[in-house]
Amino acid sequence: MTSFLTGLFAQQNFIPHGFCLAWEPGLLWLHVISDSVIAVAYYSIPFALIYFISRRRDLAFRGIFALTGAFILACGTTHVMGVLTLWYPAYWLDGMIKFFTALISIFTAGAMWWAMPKALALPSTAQLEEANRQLEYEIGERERAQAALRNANAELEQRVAARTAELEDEVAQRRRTEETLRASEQRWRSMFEASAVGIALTDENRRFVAANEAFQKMIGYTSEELSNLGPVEITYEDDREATREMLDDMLSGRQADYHVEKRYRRKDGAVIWVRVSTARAPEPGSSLHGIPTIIEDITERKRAEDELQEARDALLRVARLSTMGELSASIAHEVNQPLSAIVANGIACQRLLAAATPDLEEAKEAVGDIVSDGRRASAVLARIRQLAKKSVPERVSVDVNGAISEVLSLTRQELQRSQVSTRTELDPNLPSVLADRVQVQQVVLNLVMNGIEAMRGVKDRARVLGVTSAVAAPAAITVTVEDTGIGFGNNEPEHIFETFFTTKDDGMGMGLSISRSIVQAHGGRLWAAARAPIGAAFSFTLPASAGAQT
Amino acid sequence: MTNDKFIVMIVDDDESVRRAARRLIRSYGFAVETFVSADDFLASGRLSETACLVLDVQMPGLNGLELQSRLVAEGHQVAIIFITGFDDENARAQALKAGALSYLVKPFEEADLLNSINLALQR
Repeated sequence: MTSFLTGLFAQQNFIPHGFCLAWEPGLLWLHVISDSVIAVAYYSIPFALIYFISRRRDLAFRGIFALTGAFILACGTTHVMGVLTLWYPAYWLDGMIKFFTALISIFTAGAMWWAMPKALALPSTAQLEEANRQLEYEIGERERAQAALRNANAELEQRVAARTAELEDEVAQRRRTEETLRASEQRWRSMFEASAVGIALTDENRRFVAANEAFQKMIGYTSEELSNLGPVEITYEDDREATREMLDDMLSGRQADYHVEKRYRRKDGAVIWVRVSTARAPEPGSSLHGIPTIIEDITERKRAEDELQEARDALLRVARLSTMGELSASIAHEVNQPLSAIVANGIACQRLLAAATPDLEEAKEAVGDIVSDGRRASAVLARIRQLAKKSVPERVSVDVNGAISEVLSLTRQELQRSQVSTRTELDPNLPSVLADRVQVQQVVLNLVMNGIEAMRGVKDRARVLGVTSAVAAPAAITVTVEDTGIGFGNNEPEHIFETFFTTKDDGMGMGLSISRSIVQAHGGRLWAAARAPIGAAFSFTLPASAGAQT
Repeated sequence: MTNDKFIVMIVDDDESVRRAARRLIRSYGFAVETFVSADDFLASGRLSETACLVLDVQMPGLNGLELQSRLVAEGHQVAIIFITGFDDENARAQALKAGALSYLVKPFEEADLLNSINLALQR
């Protein structure tokens, strides 16, 4: 080693480099100064690099920086050697340093090229700044998003809390509703059980699915027995078809409700009258299956109604007979006329046939007259009998003009006796009405008798009874009986319809009120009006029978 | 036949009665004319030929009693026989008081009518 170092520094017989420069001081100094300055500069650079590296721990390519530092240090040393060799010809050392420098320079250069792509790939400051900005922006965005997320979270929590509260409310509400429903159900059930009227539920198979106590009692079947029966089975035979149709209508939805009066046959065979009211739930999707029905036993009421009707019919008949009693003289006359004609014709006939030369032609005519007068007398009797007979009220097609004419012929003598002339205007196109003929005649008879009575005291003017029939729209007829009598005076026309109101000394005051009740029972009305300039007019309407020609 | 100049006038609004009475009185041999009302009779102008008037009491328009009053008031001496369906005492009294030959209630006896007509004939 010593020998090597000695060798390095051995000057041997080399000539100092200054010699080559002929020791020219100027040139010498130029080299010395230049090399020294370069060397100083070169030495300072590695320190700067080392300082830089030491401060920037994050620096990339630290190895290359180190190599470059070493290379520059070596370069500086070659320049130191340049100054040294001016005076000391240690060229070996100089050469070795140069060799060392060359080695480092090769590594440095190699390393640099090797690192070049990576270095190039390193982002520039601008790029970094841009990236930084981008990053900052993204961070900002992220923060905003996070803030939004936080808000959303907060809101969500709030909502969850609110919904939870709502649900709790709902649960409480539902519980209350259920309790109310239960209470309601109990209420209805107790009403159903305790009801005095029958309540039953009929299903789609026309079987009773529920029947309350009252209904079971009414019909005589138990609830179990009823579950095998339906409305049709317990209905009185004659009413079954109607019941079947009613059920068809209800179940098909053609009819929403029904209110009918019909008959049931009880288990013990007795027939009872009931009023049946059904109302189906309006919406088809309703959970209420079947037909709820309310049944009232109206047997008692029906019987009372029948009795009332019988009493009413009896009263009408009595009133009719009483009116006819007033007419008895006229009626007798009405029969007497044809009878006296028959007698006269009979005597004439006897005489004609007993003559020496019998006038057979005249006798034949007389016999013809006898026959027609006999018929006339019997027709009068038939009319009287019809008016007087006890008949069940009926509804038949009635020719009102014919009915009026018969009444006028029955009262003809009464009219003449009272010196009342009649003026009739009967519309030939009058439609028929659905009515009880006798009762219609009773009304006309009452009005005619009333008119005659009203004109009894009239001396200063003609006594005229007008009877008019006319078509009244829509589908009705009007009959008017008017007189030239005393009118209503200061009384309201309506007043005279009151029962027991009468202007007659011997009158009952029932004729008009009975007449009005008859007309009303036929769906018509009866009213009175003052007639101009004098007298009164009584009119009544009756609905024309369906399909009648107008 | 008995007397062709003797004409019985019948006033009655009922056609059956009119026809029957006419036939019956004719069978006795009297001439008969019929009228449906008092007004019809007055309008016919046959009053002067009337020997006997058979009158219904109740008729539309002028009734039998009114016709009688009117004839009496006008001084006509006509024999009047009332035939009526109503046996009304007042009417009967009024008729007879005013000079009627008889007041017959339907259905009347043939003999009564014939007697009355004969009474009229004798006047």
